[in-house]
Amino acid sequence: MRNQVNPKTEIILCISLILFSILVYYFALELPDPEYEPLGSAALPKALSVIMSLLSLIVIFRAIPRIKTYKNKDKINTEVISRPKLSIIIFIITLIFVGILDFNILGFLPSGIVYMTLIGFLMTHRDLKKLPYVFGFSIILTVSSFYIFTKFFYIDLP
Amino acid sequence: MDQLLNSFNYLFQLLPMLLLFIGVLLGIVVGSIPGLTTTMLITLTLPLTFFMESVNAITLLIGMYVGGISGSQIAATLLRMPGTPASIMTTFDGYPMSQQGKSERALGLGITASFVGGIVSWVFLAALSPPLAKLALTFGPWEYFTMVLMALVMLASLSQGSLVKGLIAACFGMMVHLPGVDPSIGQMRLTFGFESLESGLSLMPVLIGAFAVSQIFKDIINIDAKPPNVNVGRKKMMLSFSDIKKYSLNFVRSSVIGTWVGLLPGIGANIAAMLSYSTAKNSSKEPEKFGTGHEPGVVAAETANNASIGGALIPLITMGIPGSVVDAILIGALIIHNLEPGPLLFSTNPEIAYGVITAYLIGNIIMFGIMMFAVVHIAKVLYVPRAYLLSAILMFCVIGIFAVGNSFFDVWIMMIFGAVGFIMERTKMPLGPFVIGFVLSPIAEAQLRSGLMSTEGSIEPLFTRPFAATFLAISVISLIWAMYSEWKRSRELS
Repeated sequence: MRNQVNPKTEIILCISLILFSILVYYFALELPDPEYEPLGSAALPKALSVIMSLLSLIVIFRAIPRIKTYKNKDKINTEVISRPKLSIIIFIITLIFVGILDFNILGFLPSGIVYMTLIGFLMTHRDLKKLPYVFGFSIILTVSSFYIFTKFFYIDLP
Repeated sequence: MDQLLNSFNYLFQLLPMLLLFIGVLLGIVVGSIPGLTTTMLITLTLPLTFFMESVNAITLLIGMYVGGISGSQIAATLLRMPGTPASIMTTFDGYPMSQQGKSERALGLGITASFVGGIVSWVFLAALSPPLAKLALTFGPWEYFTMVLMALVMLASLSQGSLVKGLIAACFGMMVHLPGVDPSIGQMRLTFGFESLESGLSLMPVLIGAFAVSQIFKDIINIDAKPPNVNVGRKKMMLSFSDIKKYSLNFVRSSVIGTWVGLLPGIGANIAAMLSYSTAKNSSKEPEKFGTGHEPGVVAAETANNASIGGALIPLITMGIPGSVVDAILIGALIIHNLEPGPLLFSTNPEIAYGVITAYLIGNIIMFGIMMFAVVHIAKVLYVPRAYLLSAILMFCVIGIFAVGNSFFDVWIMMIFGAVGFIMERTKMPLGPFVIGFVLSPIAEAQLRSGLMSTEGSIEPLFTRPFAATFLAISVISLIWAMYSEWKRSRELS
């Protein structure tokens, strides 16, 4: 049970965490020395950066010997991860949806309906028979949430 | 006592009662759907509570907490898929009972056990909280710092997966809280040149991203998984008096275990259920029957996981220290409503402190009623098409977060932490220490620095003040114990 995680993923994650720690440490160096109390604003960021880097190194050293042995397990477990691509695609579509709203390209109502229909269609295995239901659901949900937020909570959606 | 009665009086009004009912019902429904967690429901509801009075908001969230933990037994019993980790132990005997055609009996036992666990732990909550809050008033910065340290270490050590990953998650959570104004001297730090980071990262986008968005993407991966059809009737659900008498010892023992395990910082309902289940098994005359559809197994697991909620609420309202991830979010809810979690809550906002206590009791009673009479219908929720459910939740995450701060910066942060949470889950890095690190790091830093200021840089009080020394000792022992257990496990595996 313990070593089911892909060691390469673990290594990439830990390298990212080390880089993040270096960045935090670098910016913490720019903070002024403590004046009114012994620790100062930089102490915690510096301490956490060092601790996290050391812990990440431990995970990396533990993961390296597992790279070769993991390959077989990966093949056995492929059926568990059934649709990772779908998850990534929907994540990207959601980012685009947020971008459209943030940069005022389209209003919430049209973009929301298109967004909901698109992700609903993808999640129903692009089944055209289900598309009218997905579309109907998208309209009802988007319009009702628009009115609830604007009329009931007095929050202007884009 | 007067405050408690006042609180009951308030709760029996229409709006708070309605909110509590809705909270419990939603909690049960969401808890019963594998993949959707109580944590997710509570984080998603937080933005909506902005528009409510603080007492009503907390009442609603407590209802969700109680309902969520209890509702998770439905899928655990019928499908062997625990709605939340709290019901993992229920699958061991609940599911075999269901397979033997005794679904109603298993659910009846589980519901009654949850109710009894809730009521017993409420007694502890109501009796212990006021004196504990008084004691906590004597605590200084060193006690608070070591208590936060203890919560973090215990959660990291007891999280699923490795200790190192738990500690990384805790450190990462603390680091995420660093940007913005330094809580002690008001110095701006680590904004990386972004103006939006000057006020720091808000709790809501980080929480919703890490728990709700990441969970949605995790569920999308397994969207093809369909639950098998099961039939549940309503007969044989209510336990007889002789049943209650038969399991009375198990009820009391599991309630006490659940409450005390819940009381320890960082330990959740799943550990409580596990400990209670193994105690029931070890003290049974027929231990070999456990795991085959044995009724005492369901009773032990369900009593303890519900009792742990009451236990976990004790450090929350008396000291502002979360007993579990959901409690950390509840602390976040209090902060959002400009309330200060901790011992002062009883004197400054008694309606909130006692509101939690009364809502927990009434929530359990409502949970029992709803589950007993509507579990047949609630079980049908298991078959709601995931495509509709997940897309709706994703949409609510986006507009909910936008609504809280009227800012798309928060929505981007939510998406980033959705990805972070997803990657952490995939690499088995626990999210619990991350969120508790995020919520508690400002308290830990401010208390440590204030302590050091008062002693002119000396850390002597860590060893000379009895409570601080005890909390520190517990932290060190937990860490050493976790390291030893991990070393022992790796030796066994090799």
